[in-house]
Amino acid sequence: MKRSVFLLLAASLLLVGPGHAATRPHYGGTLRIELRAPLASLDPAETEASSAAQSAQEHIAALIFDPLVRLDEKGAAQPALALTWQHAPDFRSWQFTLRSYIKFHDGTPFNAAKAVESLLKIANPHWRVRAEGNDSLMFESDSPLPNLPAELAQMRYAIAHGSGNAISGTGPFQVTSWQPGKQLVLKANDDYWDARPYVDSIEIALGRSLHDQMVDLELGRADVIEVGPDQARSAAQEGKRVVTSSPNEVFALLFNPQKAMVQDERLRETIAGALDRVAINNVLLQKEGEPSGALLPQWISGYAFLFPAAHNLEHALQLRGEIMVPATLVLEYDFSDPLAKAIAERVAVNARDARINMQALGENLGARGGSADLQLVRVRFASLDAATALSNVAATLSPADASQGRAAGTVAEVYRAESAMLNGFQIVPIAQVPEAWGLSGRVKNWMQPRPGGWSAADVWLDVSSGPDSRVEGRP
Amino acid sequence: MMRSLTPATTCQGTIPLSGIVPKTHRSKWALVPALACALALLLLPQLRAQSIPTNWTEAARELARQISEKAGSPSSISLTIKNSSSLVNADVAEIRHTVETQLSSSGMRIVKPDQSVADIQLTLSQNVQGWLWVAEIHHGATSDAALVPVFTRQAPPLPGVSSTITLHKTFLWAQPDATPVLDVAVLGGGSNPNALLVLDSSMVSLYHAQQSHWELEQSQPIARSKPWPRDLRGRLMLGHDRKFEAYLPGMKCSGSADSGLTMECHNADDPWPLGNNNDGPKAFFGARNFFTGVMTSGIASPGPFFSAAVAQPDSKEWFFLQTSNQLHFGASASPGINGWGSNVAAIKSNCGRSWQLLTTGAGDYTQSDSVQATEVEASAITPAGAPVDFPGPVTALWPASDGNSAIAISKNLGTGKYEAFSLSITCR
Repeated sequence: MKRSVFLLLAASLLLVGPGHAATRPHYGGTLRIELRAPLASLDPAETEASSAAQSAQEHIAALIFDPLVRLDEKGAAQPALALTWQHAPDFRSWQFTLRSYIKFHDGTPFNAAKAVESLLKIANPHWRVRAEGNDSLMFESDSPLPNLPAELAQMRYAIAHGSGNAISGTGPFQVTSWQPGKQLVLKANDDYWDARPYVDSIEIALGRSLHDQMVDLELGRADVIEVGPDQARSAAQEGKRVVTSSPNEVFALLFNPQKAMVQDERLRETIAGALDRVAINNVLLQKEGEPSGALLPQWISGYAFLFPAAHNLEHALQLRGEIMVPATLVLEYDFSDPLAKAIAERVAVNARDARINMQALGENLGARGGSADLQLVRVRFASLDAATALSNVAATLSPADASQGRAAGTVAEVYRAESAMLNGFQIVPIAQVPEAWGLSGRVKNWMQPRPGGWSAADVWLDVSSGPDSRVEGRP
Repeated sequence: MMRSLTPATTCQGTIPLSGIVPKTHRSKWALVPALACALALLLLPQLRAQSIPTNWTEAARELARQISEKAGSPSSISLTIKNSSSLVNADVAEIRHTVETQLSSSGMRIVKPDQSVADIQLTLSQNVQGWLWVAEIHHGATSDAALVPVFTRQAPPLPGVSSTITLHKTFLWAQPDATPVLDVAVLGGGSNPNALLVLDSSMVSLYHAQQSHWELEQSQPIARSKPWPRDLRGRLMLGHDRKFEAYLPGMKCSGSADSGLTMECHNADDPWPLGNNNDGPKAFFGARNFFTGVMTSGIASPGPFFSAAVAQPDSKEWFFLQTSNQLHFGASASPGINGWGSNVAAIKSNCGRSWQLLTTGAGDYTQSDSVQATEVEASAITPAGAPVDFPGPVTALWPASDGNSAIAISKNLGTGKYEAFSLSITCR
């Protein structure tokens, strides 16, 4: 009799149920992640060259380390290792008060001196930091720092202790095994100040091609894999579970200021006008990106539409008639990035539409790039704070000019800084692209990825969605 | 982009360094707008279908000032407005009226483009932080842009439903920050609530009704020596004379809201009440987010479970939503039922079988949720009325002390903040 009660209940709820709802999380299990980048270091302060490596570094760092503050989904700073902060009226001095009784995974107590030691690994020309007592940090600057909390929320400023293979953090997971470039195994930090993660451990396989990752997902050997933004739509249409972020990278052309052949602004404007961004987005990015004449995406800035992105071949041809054009321009792109290759080749086609010969050439940009007339670059924003994101883009595109792209806090000031960067067509944005992840059916609570890394501590595994002998420690 | 009534609460304060004042993480005055809304909706349910007016005037005034400054104080302008945001047409019309009024007040007459000194293209845009008004200003051969961020208002509530049995959702409380709310309890009850207790992960707070809003009277912190588990759960139980108990994993607090707020907490593994009062069955809670399965009052142990409820008072046959995703009822267990989540609570009504079970649905914390009323009758359990929807997962569902309603806590995925609702049932 009671069995029939359940069956009736199940049947009736199926008819009227809303089809989506919530189940309380379960503890336990091992989350298996695969990544393309053969990351060689866990140190969040290290600078990685490629966009894929930067992505892997940011996400992995968020598992092991904590920043002083975090940005919530609205971009507002929230406490992490720092509990409170305050600033002088002119924003030139900031005081951060730190949490007490926190320890690094190796048992070393976290305090202000350790925080300073970690922060000083990244030379920042804009501020000085010192410890005041055991639990207070003072930041000082000659110029206002209205965005300091957002700047410190980036994972490259996450607090780490030690170096190399002995590096240690305070984050939700701690390292149990690390083979640089190959595999990382983490276990849950039972004493994590922000509550122990649901899963017991995470295994991350590094250096896996996108194809191999997809095979592993299909065979049930991986729970989380990278999916190229250009593949996200087709993967979803094939029934795979794909989660896509808001655009968090920008593809842009960067003209070489050292090359005489591209010094004429009209030549750069000609190439910009010949770009067919909509076709690039529709065909190469499978409509997963946003064609844009701006560096920052609309969802971060709100003003991206102010920068024209229209395909204007007629104007380009008119300009072309007024200038001396070199025989062939060389466009470099990251040879390890298939999407960059496709876009670079399309840019070369667009240039030829404007009667400019352009050759796309794959290079190891991190090691040898910079000798061509122009580069196709792919830059991560690494923050959802507009001023910080623009500053990051500027630091990547114009590392020699630290003042470029630095803006105070207001959106009007960020707009002015971005306008100044794009004025003169030295930098020509093409499209912003999202990050996409393929998930197995048992992954629950996977938040939409956003700058600041995965929220893997909130992820749990549903043991009922399929047989999995690896899941233990059920609640 | 979701709308929000309450401004973002951050840990940032502006202070002279010569006299640093610690930042108040939860200013009572910062709560007032949300409280006003909460209490108004609690006391006047008929207002639930109305949105709260937003004052666009301040933003329009700033926009007019910038346009005047950037266009050189033009005597006449043309104005076109484009909506690139999620604002609805009624909002756009209201904004147009407000902007035109402010432009006129600033000495700029709005005319046709062929008669204007400057042309203004206003785009109602939005970014990660909220609305953004972007005015492109074309003045002679020059162009400029004015950008004005705008704070917003709360989304209108969902439309109601009607059926023989109707489950009502009444908004009680919105947490001003992202701190998880575990439970709330209304003191005074019925149609005359006069105080609200809020249990969150760090404190119990007492708010009293002050005309049209809740006003913070006092908070008592919950000191703990080790971190809480993730998906923290907790429960408030009201007793006589405004006494209360708060149950948390490994901790129990006892207090009174009779004269201010007093409370003492101690480490304890006391069993938690499962019903609407302390007299019914109790169950021991583990160190994570579930009951261990060890019961008092002679109820058969079903193993670890997330929540439990009984469909009729004095019955020994309880429903248990187990951590293994099974539904346990009496001596039987059934595989996970499609559409059911982890929370169940029973409430009394004057409808149908008098008692109904409320259940959340299946999914995870990245999704919206709903609560469905069901009736247990002889050999059938059937849905009763339409479910009520929530803009995020329901993280707690407890029977209220009056037995006639339940408290649902939901994390609003749009705002990232926790909200409390009272659920009750009426019938035609």
